[in-house]
Amino acid sequence: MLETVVQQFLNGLTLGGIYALIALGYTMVYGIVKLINFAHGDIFMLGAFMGLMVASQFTNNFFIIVIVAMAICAVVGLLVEKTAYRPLRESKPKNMIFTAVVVVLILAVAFISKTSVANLFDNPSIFIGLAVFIVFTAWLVRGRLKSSNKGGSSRINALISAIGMSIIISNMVALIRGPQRATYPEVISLGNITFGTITISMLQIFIILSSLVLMCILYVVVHKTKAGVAMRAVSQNADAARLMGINPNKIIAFTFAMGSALAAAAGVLVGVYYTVADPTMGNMYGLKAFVAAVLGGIGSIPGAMVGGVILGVAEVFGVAFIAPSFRDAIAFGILILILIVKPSGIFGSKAKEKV
Amino acid sequence: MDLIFNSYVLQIITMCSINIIIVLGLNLITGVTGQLSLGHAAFASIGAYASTLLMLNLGLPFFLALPLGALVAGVSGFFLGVPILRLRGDYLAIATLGFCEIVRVVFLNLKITRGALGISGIPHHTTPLIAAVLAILSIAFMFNMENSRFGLALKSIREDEIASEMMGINIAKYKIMAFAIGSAFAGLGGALYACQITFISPVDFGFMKSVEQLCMLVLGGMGSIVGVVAGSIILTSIPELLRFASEYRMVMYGIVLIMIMAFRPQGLFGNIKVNL
Repeated sequence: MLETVVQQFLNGLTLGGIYALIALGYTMVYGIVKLINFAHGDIFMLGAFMGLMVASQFTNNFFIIVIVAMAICAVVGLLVEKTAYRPLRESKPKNMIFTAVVVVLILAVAFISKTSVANLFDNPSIFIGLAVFIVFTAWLVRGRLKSSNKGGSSRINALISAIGMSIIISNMVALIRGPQRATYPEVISLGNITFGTITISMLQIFIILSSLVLMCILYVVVHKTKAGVAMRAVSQNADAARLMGINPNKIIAFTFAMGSALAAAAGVLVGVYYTVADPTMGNMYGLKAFVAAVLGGIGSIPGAMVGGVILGVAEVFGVAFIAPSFRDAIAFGILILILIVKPSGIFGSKAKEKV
Repeated sequence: MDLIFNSYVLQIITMCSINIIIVLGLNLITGVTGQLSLGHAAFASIGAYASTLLMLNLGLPFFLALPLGALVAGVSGFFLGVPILRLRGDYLAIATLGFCEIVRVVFLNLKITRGALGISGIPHHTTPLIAAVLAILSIAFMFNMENSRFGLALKSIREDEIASEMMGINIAKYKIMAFAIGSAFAGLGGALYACQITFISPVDFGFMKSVEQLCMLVLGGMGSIVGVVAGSIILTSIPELLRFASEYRMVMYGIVLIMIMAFRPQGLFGNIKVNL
């Protein structure tokens, strides 16, 4: 019995560390722009695939894999923010046109990815479709720029835009490299150590330690650097921060990049741990990490860490001792329970409503 | 006539009508009352499963099972609404999403729903006529409701909860009623869907289905019945017309959501803005 409990607890900590890494991105972005970044789970998935790409084509060095995946996903995070969220915050022509161009590019890439370059001109309907789409986009942009309503949009709109981005990322990955699962090569082999009857996988310890190190780095960045101070300032009061000479747009972009890098690291860790990656895994991990963020108190960084660990342990124990087939329901049951009992979460501060 | 109304076109008309009914329910919750729901497909699945099981296991006739399916969905919407409608905005959206996942997992694990295998061999009762008539009745119902005292109360909740509470509107009661009625419409649509496709499984009603319904609503314009009808018809029939682009379908949904939100937040046919 003891072996099982210790073993399951370690499994829970491993999973919890991964959830915590993803949850940090949700919580930082929510703290700063009050938006649930639905695309975050898909950036996590993208991180796993980027790690896979590096591992299978270039090097077997774990640290290079993680750093490359983090860098790529940080850039993707910046793009996501600029495409899907910035035009909703401020409808300047510059932001609108950027979004329009990115959207057309995504569609073009999607079309081209399914046709080889030699056959590109065989099917004219693709080009007609693309042309119609570009005209439609231009019409929409023109209408938006001419309309009298120049203010930012409401939060429901940002949430829907985030869902759109999430669908685009996961389906683009599925389009480009096929919807099937991919097997991760073995990049670290550490073996097991045994204490009496208890066997501990060193890989699990390695993953737990990696997530701890990343969280410590994040803590230092948020609390000891100028950018971190600016981040906390914007999350407390964006207007006051602007008066102090902080550019909120830059800080928001920085937050997205940092959260995405952490998610990418989590993606590589998941790939290494479970040795598979598939284009739809972002959904479940993303949603559960979000549950972890809510559990800890959304907007609170220590909350995300604690929430992730609690959720991971609860899920593993629920699967092991209660009902294995209800694995996904456990996390959402916890979510609904916490939302009903204490919506602000463990570390969250209760928001006062201003009239 | 045969050229226009062949079975393929009739099938598309049926699916359009079913989606109109479901999205009208979502519109009542999200568009009119302003409570973002990401779990609408769960209620469609409850309606579909309830009416199917009533028909197959208890031998009820279709015209009885259909309203009963809607009723079961509405009642479960009511019981979900009581605890979670105290939440606002993002939290509510996430709670409905969680509920959707729980419903899916429950249907996957119940014996009576035959788990992941799904239920096949459902009698094909949904004719294009029934679907279209029900869709038109639903539209008429929603038009009447929007301008009734009830509908105006819901709109005032959307515009400003605190102000409408000051005006003596019982916010909790109205929200729960809107949620229950919207869920009942989803259940009705789900029941029709089951009798049209003759096969249902939990996979058909996942988060992506909810997103698809939300996409229809957003494209047409939240809070606008014309928008609901247009959005449902466009997004149901375009994938049929563009068969060659079926692989890009989901990417297109994503792009539509982002573009509409960035460039035309009120939707193609809406003229109002929904505030959280």
